[in-house]
Amino acid sequence: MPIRTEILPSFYQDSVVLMRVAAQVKKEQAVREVAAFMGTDTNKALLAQTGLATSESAAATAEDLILTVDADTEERAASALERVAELLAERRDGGGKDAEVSPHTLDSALRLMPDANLATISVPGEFVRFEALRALRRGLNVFVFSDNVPVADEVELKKEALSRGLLCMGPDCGTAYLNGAGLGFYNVTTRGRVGCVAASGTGLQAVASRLAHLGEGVSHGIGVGGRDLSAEVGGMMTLFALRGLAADPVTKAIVLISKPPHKDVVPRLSETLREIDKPVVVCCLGSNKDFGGRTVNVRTLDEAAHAAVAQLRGETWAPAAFGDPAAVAGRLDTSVGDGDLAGAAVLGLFTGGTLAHEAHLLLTEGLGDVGFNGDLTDRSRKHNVIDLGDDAYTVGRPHPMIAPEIRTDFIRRLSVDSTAGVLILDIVLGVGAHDDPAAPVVEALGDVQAAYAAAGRRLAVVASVVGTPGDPQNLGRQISQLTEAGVHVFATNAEAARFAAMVAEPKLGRKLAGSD
Amino acid sequence: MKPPIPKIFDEPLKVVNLGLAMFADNLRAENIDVIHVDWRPPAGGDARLANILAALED
Amino acid sequence: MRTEHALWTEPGYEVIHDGGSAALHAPVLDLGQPARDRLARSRRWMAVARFQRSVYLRGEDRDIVCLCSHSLDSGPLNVRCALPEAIDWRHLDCGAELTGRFDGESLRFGGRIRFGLGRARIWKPANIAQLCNATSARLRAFLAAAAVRAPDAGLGTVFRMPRSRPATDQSRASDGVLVAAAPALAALRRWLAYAGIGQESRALPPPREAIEIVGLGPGLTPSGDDYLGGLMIGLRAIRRGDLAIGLARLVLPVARRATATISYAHLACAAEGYGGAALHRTLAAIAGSEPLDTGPCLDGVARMGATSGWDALAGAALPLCIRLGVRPPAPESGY
Repeated sequence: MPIRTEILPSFYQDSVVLMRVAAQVKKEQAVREVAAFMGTDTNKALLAQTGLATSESAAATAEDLILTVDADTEERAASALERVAELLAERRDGGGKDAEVSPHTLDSALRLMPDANLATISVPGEFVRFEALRALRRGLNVFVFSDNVPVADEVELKKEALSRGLLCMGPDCGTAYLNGAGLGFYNVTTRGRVGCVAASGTGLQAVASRLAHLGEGVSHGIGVGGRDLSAEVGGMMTLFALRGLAADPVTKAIVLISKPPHKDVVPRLSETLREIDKPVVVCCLGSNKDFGGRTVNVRTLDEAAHAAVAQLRGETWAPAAFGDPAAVAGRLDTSVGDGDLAGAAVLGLFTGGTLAHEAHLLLTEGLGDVGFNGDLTDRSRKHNVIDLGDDAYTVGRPHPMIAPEIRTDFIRRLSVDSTAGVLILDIVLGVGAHDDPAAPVVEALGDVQAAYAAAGRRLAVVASVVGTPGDPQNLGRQISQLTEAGVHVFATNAEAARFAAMVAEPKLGRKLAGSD
Repeated sequence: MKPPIPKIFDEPLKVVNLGLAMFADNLRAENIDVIHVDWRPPAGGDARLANILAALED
Repeated sequence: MRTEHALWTEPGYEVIHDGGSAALHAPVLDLGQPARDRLARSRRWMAVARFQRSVYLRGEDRDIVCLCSHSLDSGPLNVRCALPEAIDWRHLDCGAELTGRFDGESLRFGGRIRFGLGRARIWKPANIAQLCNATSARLRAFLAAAAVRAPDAGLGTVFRMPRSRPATDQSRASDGVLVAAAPALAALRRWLAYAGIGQESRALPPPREAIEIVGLGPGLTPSGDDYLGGLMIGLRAIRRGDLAIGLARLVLPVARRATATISYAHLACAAEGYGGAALHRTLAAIAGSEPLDTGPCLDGVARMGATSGWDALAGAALPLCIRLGVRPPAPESGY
């Protein structure tokens, strides 16, 4: 008669839990006996008398728990025993009252995967500290997708991570690449030689996509979250990631994508950058700061990718407003028409925060005062850029990269309450994003264009697509949908923004397009 | 002194996913070892209490 | 540094935030006299078992106290603290080791967690002044109620055995416990009968068979240990502390080496007359003059563990039955 036992040394369980588990498994698995006894001599004698003893149970001590299963077959006994151990572990973790197999806590997951090295966390922001701190203390690197995490929590998490030599990516880290694997929202690329440190998910996506386009790839892409270079956080993770990439043998060039660092952080950042003996490209949107050393400072995400590739290949490279200025000039003349959009208001409706930021900078350069995330009913600002991923616009809804309705609602509203003549959009592809983001945009544009036409107005639509041929959405199909709808599609956000500015301000067109 | 390389740069990823199941599915699709945690708020959903607990860990 | 007082309705503890970290100061509300005595004996206390609402700490010389939530019932080893219900005590530390220091005033874990005894009350069991109201009719009524609710594992099964409700779902091992315990239980019954606890007191050494149930049965505290502990408490309830001490002298040295540490600790408390609060309340209810409401009593007993409360109650009922001439619950109908 198959008897199986398992000894859980020095392991105590609430007797209540123990009995319930035994009873549950006995019923569930249709076995004759499931018993849980402490390994006292009297209990061992009892097991022997009732024919339930094994060599394992005989060796147990009074502080051990003996799990005994008596079943018709060896397999049944084994599977019942497994089930008991599983339920006990589950309950010991405070997992829950129900008998479910999937773990409810980090610790119960770690029992199933003791050598885990990364926790990806997307729980509500208020619980991030609890979960991430625990993960770090268990020796796991963390990737925190969640936003709405207090900055004090971020500081604490990053200090904890640094003290353990671990990465704390985020909070509010949309994208990362580790060892060639993408995390969060990412574009499908092959692994390469460029290490990235990015304060922004879409920034990293744009650079990774451009690198793929140029035939290169990311070695590791460390997202640090948008606040890392603030005074409070002090660039902790940026500096750590830069040093790590500097020492990483796979990484041959480094790109830093960030917002302007707080002035208190600049000296430390400069010092770290100077110590790196690999080419470093710094794309610090909104700042022209030169960090010296071997760093190459660029102004757009596309330039960051180009500069890194040039460095890797030992090629010379100089920034240009457009990859193909002649084509742009031609498009400006033929497609947009006779300058009847000259003086039109430009509106940017973005799903990617960094893309919105980059477009805002470039539009401001060309057009002067441009509002950012302002109230669109306030007509004091002619040109506006909106980052629809901002909390103010999502208000509890999913991010517009997943749920395009947020933006299509805005687009449809143009027909009734907007002065905009030039619309600039971003289409972000990749794993995690909406499975056909161009389609709802094209549909909404159709409605708006009809309304504009009826009113005798014109609307020029400019867009860039962030994506790679490997992305699940089919890059070519996304672009063709947009082009067929009359959208001026550009490979980069910077080109789209510059083109939009030129449509509204033809003088710029002659200057910019002819400048190369 | 050579700066330290985060150990994970040299290791295959083994991931515990807490929160959106989509992230676990995506990793699994890439043949990355992942366990999805059927997450429930700790401390009965009391974030303040959860944070106290976290702060009490050394 | 800022001090936050609890917003919860539960009694006051403090969370002190200092930069990124927090410290927790929780007052101990009450603790059993045995727990107080044991705390005084050791400075260093190490967690040996952790549950959702409690942590068992071990001091020197196998001393055990149970630091727990005030949502648990009082008990001899329970050090009940004011902490919110939602705290899972298994999460109160991060590693396997949780070592506390007791300095006479408080129990400290690391620099962060402190349980202060300054305002703690000492818990003592309900005083069973006399058993004058414990009539045989009252006890029979109680046993009838217990027979309906008794579990199907452990020694609490004796409550239902003689009353034509045989267990149908008992397993081999559970049956085995009763079979293995039967000689000891019969010997203990004979002992109490011969000791004449109904009429006059006679000193009679306890039967050696009693040690056969030390460490016997399922659970963290094996049923046999709980039964013996309950028996000692029942003996004190009928003013036969002398017999309880005699029994303790026989079984404690055996239990010290033959059963689990936590179980031994509980048994040692029982030898001093301390059991779980629910057990004492139940005995007091049987002995009292109020209308006997068995429901809440048995609820409390059932909450003492899967079978522990019932095991202890089976032991405690025996002296009462013999004193009042009621047929005691027994594994065979032959009494």
